[in-house]
Amino acid sequence: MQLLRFTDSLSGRLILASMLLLPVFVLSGGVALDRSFAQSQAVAEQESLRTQVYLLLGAAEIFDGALWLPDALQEPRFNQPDSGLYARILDGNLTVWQSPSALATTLPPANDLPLVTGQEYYESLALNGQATKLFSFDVAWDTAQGREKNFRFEVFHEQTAQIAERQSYRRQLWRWLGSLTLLLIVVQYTIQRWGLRPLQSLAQDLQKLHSGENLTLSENYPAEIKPVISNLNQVLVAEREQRDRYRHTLADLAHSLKTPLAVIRSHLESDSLPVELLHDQVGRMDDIIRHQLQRSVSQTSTFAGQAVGVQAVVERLLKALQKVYADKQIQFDCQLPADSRFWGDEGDLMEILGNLLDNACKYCHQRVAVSAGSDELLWLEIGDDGPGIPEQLRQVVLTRGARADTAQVGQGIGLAVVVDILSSYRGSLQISQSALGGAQVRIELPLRQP
Amino acid sequence: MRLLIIEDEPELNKTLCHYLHSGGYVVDSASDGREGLYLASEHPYDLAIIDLGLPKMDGIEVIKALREKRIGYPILILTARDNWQDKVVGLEAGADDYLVKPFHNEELRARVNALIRRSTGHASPVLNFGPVTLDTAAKVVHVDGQALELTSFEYNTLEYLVHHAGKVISKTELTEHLYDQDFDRDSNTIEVFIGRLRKKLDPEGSLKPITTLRGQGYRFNLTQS
Repeated sequence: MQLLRFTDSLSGRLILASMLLLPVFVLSGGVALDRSFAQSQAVAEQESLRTQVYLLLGAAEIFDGALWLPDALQEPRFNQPDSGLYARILDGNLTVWQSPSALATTLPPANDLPLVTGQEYYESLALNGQATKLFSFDVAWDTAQGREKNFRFEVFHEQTAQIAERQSYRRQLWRWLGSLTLLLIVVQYTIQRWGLRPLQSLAQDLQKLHSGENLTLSENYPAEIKPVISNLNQVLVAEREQRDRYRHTLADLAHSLKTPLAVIRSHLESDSLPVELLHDQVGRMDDIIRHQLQRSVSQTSTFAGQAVGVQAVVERLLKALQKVYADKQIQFDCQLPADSRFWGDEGDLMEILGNLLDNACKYCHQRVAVSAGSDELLWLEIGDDGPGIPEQLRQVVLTRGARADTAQVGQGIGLAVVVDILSSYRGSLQISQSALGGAQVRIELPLRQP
Repeated sequence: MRLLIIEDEPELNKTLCHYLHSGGYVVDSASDGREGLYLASEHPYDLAIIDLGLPKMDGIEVIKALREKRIGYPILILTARDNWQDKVVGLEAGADDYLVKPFHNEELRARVNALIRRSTGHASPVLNFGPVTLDTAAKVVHVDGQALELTSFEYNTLEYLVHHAGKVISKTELTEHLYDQDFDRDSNTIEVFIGRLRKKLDPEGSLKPITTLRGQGYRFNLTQS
């Protein structure tokens, strides 16, 4: 639960991640440094023991077939008992010489390795309970008699100093790495606070927006969240406009309903209410309500639009209309590219096409053609084989409430609504003659690239 | 013809029942979705008129439930919402037509007539059976061009038989579709109406439009021309 709450915040997540990762990095780095130190120490040790062997070789001489070394050697530790550095020369298993330093020390017995000229041997062993390194080197010596004699030179070195050195190195290393880790955590925490500060100010901005102090969010944000902010601002503006529009619509509606109501009331009060007049006024009120309602719904702004597939919407509508106009057995001829998209609200597209297709079905004899396409804009053409709309009437049918054919109900408002919706999308509508013989309506809508 | 109205607004429900009843229909009504669904699944209606905004169960749900039960008589939606999205959703749920409130009563009657006619497989409101012509929109019958004077019950009986021409219709079925629930099922009213219809349609007895099948019912014999 605690962990869950911790991962709920961005900085919590970042800190958790670095707390998990940092020890892994620091530990593996420390281990690698420690290993490489130990390795270079071992190499240096081997090299130094080899040098000691070479120095001994240089000091050794053969007299009368026996090996001789000076009493005092150049390396003082060979002369001082228990110094930790010992040397021994073997002839087979026989010790022929031992450094003065080894007087009080028991060197381990010679190993079984056969003597091979030029062979080096390096190993770790325990001497007097101390970790010790042994370096041996086999040589062949020409005696005065012209014979060849083999010896093995051995140098033992107790590792007390090296071990102490390594321990001190380790202590230093971990102390440094520890402080570095702490420093990193502090630095990272600071960076995080700094990096996430815009989000805090965003929260404050939103608070101000909520309290009504500001109307939009300030645009002073880093590049990563700037798009979010500007989109949010667009939503806010659109939402405010929408609210205003609803308020206006409501006011318009209330005002325009008052007139027919006043007419009816005045007749009621004068005790003469002709049914004809009541019919007229009720029809007028119905028209007003439908018009205002559709206008307020249709005037949703276009910014939040998604791509709506035209084909799917047309197919749904045609299926529905086929039921409604089942008697007419209308033949639909659709040429709709699958990739034709409308950028906006699906309900708006359905309203536009629903009204246009409904009109086409209403007036056609038997055939309705629907086609669409998109180049610089999205266009849709709906034609029928009905009587068509005479040229002088084409403008009239677009105005509210007008009907070219009064026998059909509900025609006028439908087209006016289509024009209203289209204009809110900056689209257009033209009426012409269809190749089928009747009316053809072409609408054009701007494309918004994804 | 027996209709069901599911409408929660009591005034509208009453007006619609009254209007359609006076137009010669037998009308049942329900004021919420659940009651409506019960009636609609229990009785053999010729058409249902369903309001979309209903208490207890939404109109769309009622329609879907009916269609899932494979109940296939036509459904006319009444809706206050005049947008295409709602209309399409209603029609997709299984309704056959819609009417936006407020509407004119004649418009409602025309839609009801058209839907019933369509559901019985007749494309035109005027049905011709040789010398007999039935205008289902005007509810008038002509024989050899002469208009017959029929009472509304007589007309309804004839129309039901004509809509199901060639099929045997039992007395029970006729009763269910043509008369109110309190109709006395044991009476011989149906036989009387059929007798009168025969006389009016075929005074010389040469046409024999309606056959009685003993113990089974009646059949309208003429074929559509």
